[in-house]
Amino acid sequence: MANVTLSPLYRADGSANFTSNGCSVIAAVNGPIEVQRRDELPEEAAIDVAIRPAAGVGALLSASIPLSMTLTATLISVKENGGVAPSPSAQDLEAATSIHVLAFSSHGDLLVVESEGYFTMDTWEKVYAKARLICHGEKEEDSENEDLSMDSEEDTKLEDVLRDAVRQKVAAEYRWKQSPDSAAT
Amino acid sequence: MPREAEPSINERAFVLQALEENIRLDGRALDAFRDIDISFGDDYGVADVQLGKTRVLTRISASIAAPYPDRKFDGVFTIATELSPLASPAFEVGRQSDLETHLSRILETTLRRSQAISTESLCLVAGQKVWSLRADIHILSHCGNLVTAASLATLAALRQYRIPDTSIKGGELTVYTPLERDPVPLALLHHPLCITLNYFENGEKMIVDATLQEQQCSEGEVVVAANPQGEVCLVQKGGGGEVDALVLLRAVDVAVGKVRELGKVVDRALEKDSKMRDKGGISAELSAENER
Repeated sequence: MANVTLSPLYRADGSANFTSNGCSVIAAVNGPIEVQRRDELPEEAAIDVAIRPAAGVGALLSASIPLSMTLTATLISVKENGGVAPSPSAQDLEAATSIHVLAFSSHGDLLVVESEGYFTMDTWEKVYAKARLICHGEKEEDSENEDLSMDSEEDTKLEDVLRDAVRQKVAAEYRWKQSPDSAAT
Repeated sequence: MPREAEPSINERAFVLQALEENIRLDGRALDAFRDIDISFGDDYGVADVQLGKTRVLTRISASIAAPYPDRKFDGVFTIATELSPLASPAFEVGRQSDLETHLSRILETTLRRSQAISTESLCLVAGQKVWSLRADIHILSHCGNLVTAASLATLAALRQYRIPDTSIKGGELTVYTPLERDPVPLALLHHPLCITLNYFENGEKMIVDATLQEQQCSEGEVVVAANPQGEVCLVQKGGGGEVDALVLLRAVDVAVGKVRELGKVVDRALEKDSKMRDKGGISAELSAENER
């Protein structure tokens, strides 16, 4: 399933490698560096995003850049029979009646929606619920139906994958801080 | 415009003095390589080479295109190098640097001009359809000796790549999917690799596989491309201090030895990869090759 490695590259200030379903994305962040004249805003930071094959997740975390939140995104396709398929393959995408990209913040707020194809509002609600489950974990009214949250145990939540990767990296970097006593236990 | 940070005067003096005593900062011998790790992707034609902290990924892809009108029987082989900010903050997006031109020219001469890849074998229908083969070289981490890392990655990827099988019946071209027919290896006539030698003390001292810092402190570099049979494909010395002709000859000698060494590393990596793909020994059964 989804797998994140932080700082696989030596020269970039921050970097991450994200692997999921046979796709692999590597992302790097450099900064702060000199901004190009045409992008310059005197009182604001300029972010220049360059995508080579596809977009990635998580690199900002390893560059120690202060963020107000982290975010996760997912792609969902809707089959002809109305079924919702997360992480679709190329064949799934061809057969899909509509495809949706959704991004969520770490607070669970919806940040981006891009939908393509023919679908009803009901279908979209289903897609939204599924995407939220994948990215953020809990459902909005999670106390209501417990069997659904049981279901989601199998799916790794993207946010947790991200959190785990950062936790492991921080633990590795701060191992010098661990006292010998606590290391022994 | 960002620039690569130069080593300070103290750092430079330290590196140079150590080299005078035949010591390199990472403890290697003057003619030793850093650890080499070659790994392949799930798809054919993706090779990821790590040479110490330098990391280069090459991806080979093929599509069908019309040939150049003056070269009706030759397929197209293009090499695309791009130095992105992934490799170092000093590289900018969309601006072609000198290093990039240098790199793609050397690889082009090594692989194409030396006829390592026979473009004639990429011809499908003369004058109409040929394979257009493309090698995308992604420099992921720039810590010195990009030329060798890129040439290793490209050669390994080319040797591992399998192109879809085709047949022509009555002027009609059929391209088979991997499910219908096993894809076939490319026709490579020989396997050239590039070695960079950085020299110091007016060319008296040569080191192999310089790190970025050593590269910045050196007086210049000589790139030698050769194949394991000992045939030299290219000798290039662009700029830098002057060197004696005899020193250059010695450099070629050293490089040929190193190419043989690296060739074996690639062989071993390919063997390991083919063993991993060949689960249960299916390929021996499917192969039409017979022992003569």
